[in-house]
Amino acid sequence: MTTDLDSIEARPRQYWNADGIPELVMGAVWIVWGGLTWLGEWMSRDHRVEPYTMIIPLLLVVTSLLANPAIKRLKAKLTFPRTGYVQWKKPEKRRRGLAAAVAFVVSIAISLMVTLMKTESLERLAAPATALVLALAFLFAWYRNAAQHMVWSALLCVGLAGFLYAADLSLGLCFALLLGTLGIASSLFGLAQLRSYLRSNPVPGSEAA
Amino acid sequence: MNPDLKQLSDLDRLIHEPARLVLVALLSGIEEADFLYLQRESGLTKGNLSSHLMKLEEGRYVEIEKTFRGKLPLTLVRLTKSGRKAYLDYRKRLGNFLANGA
Repeated sequence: MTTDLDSIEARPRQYWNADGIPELVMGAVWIVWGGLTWLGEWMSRDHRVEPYTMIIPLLLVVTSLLANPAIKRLKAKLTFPRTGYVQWKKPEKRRRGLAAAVAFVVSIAISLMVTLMKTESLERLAAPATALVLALAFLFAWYRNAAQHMVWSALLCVGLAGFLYAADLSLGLCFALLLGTLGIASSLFGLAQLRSYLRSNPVPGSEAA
Repeated sequence: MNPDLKQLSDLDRLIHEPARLVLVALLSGIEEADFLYLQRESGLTKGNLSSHLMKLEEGRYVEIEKTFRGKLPLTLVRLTKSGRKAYLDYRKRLGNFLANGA
């Protein structure tokens, strides 16, 4: 019985992914990041435009800040009128503290990597290592939200890690490929999920029309 | 009274009813939800859902806010502090009862 209660409690968390909107928006963000990363790499080869590469990190931050509001607006327009409104809880202080601790440990690890490793090794490992970290993040999201498709995202990341290590491309191109591929996969899944959701859930009161 | 029966009878009757248990469990992990979401997730009819929410509101386990989204009426439901505490207490007692009975 308590297991059934656990699954009932989990349903609002699963509702976040029911419409495919988070996957669609994050996919678009990753595609933009991949494009900006490739653009930054291309610009850095030409000394005339190299100073403008400073704008790339700013654009990355701006696009990431726009993601959550975009998801909420799309849900307000498409999801809530069809299957109801939910206000999800903000993470507890303890969980936010844990996330901050993890981010701190990861940044220390990256700093150590940069300090101790040779530049060539770092360039070769950075993108595959990032892909593996993303795979872990997807697995955690699968566990937390019972979102089965996150397992496939994790497997895609592992595959990309192997490919990027073997391909031995430049750092910028590796990240551009990683983000672009993840972005396209996520967007396509999100679109398919959204299409299926909209077909299965007409706006109440519109069925008779 | 038989000790097992006593444990069962100590469970909060307001929450122990299956429909209300589902509603409280759904609300336990979120800030608030509207009537439509609760109706779809619980599978209750509108009348049934209203009736159960009213009982929970009378017991001060939920707060019901009637507002508008644009021109459309919107009923928002959220678990109160006492409601959350009562649910956690209910889960603990039920867990103990099932563990002892196993």
